[in-house]
Amino acid sequence: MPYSRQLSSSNPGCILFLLDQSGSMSGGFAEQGGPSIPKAQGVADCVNRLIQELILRCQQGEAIRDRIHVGIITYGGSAQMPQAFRSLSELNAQPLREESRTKIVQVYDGSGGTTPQTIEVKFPIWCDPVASGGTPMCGALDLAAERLKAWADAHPSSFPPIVFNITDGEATDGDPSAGLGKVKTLGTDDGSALVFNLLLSNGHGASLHFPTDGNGVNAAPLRTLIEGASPLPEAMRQRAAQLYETPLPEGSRGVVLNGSILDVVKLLDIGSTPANG
Amino acid sequence: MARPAVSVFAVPKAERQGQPSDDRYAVCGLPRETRLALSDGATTTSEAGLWAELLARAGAEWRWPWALDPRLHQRIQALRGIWGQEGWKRLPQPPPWFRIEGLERGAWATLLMVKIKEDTWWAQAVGDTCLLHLRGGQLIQSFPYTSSEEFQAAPCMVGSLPREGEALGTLPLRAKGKCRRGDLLLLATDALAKRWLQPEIEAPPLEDWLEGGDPMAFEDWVARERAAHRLDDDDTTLMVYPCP
Repeated sequence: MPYSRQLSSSNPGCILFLLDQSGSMSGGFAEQGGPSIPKAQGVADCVNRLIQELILRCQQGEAIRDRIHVGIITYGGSAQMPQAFRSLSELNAQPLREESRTKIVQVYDGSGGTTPQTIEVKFPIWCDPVASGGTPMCGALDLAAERLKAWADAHPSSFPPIVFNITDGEATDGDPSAGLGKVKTLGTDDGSALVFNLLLSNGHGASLHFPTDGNGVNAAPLRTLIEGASPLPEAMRQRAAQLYETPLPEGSRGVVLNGSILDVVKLLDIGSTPANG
Repeated sequence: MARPAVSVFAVPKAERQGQPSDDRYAVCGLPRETRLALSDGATTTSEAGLWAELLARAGAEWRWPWALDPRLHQRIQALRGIWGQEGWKRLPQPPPWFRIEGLERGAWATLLMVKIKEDTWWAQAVGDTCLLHLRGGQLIQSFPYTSSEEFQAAPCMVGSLPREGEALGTLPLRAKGKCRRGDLLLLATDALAKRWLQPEIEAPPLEDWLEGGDPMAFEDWVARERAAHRLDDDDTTLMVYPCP
């Protein structure tokens, strides 16, 4: 059965983020009520939080088990992947920078109670918010296909790569259909790469979650994102149904259009389901 | 009458490479009854082995009341205090961010407790660690799961964080059965229990492990089954109690 391989240090999984860092990402999420944060900031926060979460799930005492490799491709002006795929322990050892946060923790006092203690914790950061230039999504997908092929060739028995493409607009360097199709043809003996497309809201149009096809969607770029996304494997479909509190039919695709910051959080959670075990 | 020996077989998840697993077991033999406990610590949580050890020891040593007894709540809260204290003590200095976050989130573990007295066994379980009752080599009862399809990614577990107003987070399931001389009671963590509850695949060669004299037989079988994708690559522990 495809998509059943367990993640382990000997057969690690792979998560690749494709992050739109074009100028429009400086705009805020079109949220109803509450303060709006720039999309670039919101996405960077979610990506950093997910990587931290993956490290937490893979810690074992002092060690971090390298059950997942992570890569980040950014596309704003040009498509870049400044760092190769890195294991979780490499990511933890070499973040972009660290952020100091003060935490109040409850420490057990030995007499059955707890006492609050203030401590300084340095949290690693791997992704900074950037918003500049056009949206070369095709370039990013070409780069993704090249890097993912090398990764899949080196890990033929692993869970297939998981790709999160997060954008707020149309590609400015062509039609991304071919690139999305190419990425989906890559994979391992456990299945094809899983592509998740998330179009962030610009305040126009209703949101659409996990459609099975692009029927009824008039705009070609939106249909491209729908058809370019992978049908959700069973475990991810169940997780999506649970998070969105709605049943999802078989064939539902990993795509959200006009999504909010909450959709970013949920989609990353759904896509990283294999790392829960 | 001599008390029957409990045999224990354990193989950690492959990636641990010689490190101990997060499964823990305990046996308590009293004059007229035997108590066994097996706990499977969730490997994705912090200090799960410590938590599983505390639960297993308490499960076998303590006269566990049924779930609604207030003493259960007190006992669990005391164990949580020990886990927290010990967990913070084990932190290196300066502690890495993920160790602090991990401790703040707590550990999780399953717990299966079995008590055998004369010709009766009683069991309580939270989670997917299973009791398998074999007679003449045939499975005649299993608890709490009866089919491999019941195993899921996120079973019920007991959490290590102190919480007001609840003890186990979920009520343990309970079962009772009659055993005869020569019956075998098996306590197995999820990967092995799931494999055992797949009738379409040949049953695991238990006799080889018990009588074969080859201490590596269980480990070799686990490696072969994992390679054939018939056994999940997870910490795998089996306790075998021959009924006297």
